[in-house]
Amino acid sequence: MNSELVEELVRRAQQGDVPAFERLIEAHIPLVRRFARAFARTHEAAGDLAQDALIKVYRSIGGYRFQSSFSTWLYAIVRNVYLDDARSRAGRDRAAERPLEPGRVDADPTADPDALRADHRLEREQTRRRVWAALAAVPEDFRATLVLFDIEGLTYEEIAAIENAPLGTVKSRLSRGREHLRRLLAGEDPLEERPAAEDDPGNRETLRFVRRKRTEPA
Amino acid sequence: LSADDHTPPANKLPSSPDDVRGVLRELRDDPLANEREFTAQLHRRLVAAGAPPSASWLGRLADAARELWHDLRGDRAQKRSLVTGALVGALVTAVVFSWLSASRPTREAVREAASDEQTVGVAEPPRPVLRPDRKSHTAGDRRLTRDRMGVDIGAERPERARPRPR
Repeated sequence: MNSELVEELVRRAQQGDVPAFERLIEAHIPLVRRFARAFARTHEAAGDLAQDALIKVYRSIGGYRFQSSFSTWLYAIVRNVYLDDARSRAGRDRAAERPLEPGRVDADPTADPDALRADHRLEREQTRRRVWAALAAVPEDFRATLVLFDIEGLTYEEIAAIENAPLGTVKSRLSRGREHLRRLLAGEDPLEERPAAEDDPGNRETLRFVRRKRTEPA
Repeated sequence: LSADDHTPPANKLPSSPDDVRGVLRELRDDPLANEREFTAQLHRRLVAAGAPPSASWLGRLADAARELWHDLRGDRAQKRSLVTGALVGALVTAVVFSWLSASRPTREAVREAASDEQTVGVAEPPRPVLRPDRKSHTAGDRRLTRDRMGVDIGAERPERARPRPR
């Protein structure tokens, strides 16, 4: 969709033209829905959340001033809606649901264990559900960055514009988010401090330096 | 399901951040269920949401007025009486303020006319036109306590009348 068409559709949407708005967001709906999946427990809840976000985009379109690309502006609003929802829901969820134990992630309760064992396709589906569930346990800021970069394939610059954060922050969130998710999937406690690995060359140098300093006479 | 059933098999465990990236990339192919239903429901909600509000304050004001008008056209007697009361109150307040501000100059004009009538025929005493001998005599508002010869004249000396510009 070229920029002239986007501008025309935005102008019409600002006047309350719903079909123009729908055409405008058509290409972004899959991303918005997958993004919502990382912030909701079920497919239905994710659908509702994605719709809430798109309604918010529609209500806010009067404020779009063409200063950034429409997709960046849209994803920024969607991200804020998801983060707000996650933060407002966080306390209630913590009180209502059992915490995610280290070493396991939530599986879909509707899944049939016999079918999962029998069918390879279903097994793969279950693995995906595990990953989604583990992703839902990653802190919100890291989670949003992980989804936008690793799942949706956006660039660092695009994510920095969406999150209104420096590039370094985006990279840091990405790195910490991946590590958090890796630990969750591996059954480790993601909040536990990891000892420095001696097999890492950088760490080996640091450890050698620290030991030398300790043994040196003052 | 036991706790072990929730953990991915050992050969699928991501051991590094790059593995995590690979696992996440696979989620992109996740099918989105009920696409048509989602679109239809979104359409209904968008139509129900009405036109998006304008970003400028003038536009918002116009939107609010339009919304109010729609409310008033509907069968909402309670809100209608409330709005009518607010409008009548604002009108009365405006009238009272405009009457007060309009009557003030009239009262002052009447008072001035009365004082003019009292002084008709009485000559105004001539005002002394004085020039300062020295600049120090009129410098600032500080009262002089000594005269030109340096004799103490006290702080209670009355101020000189200043010449009025013609």
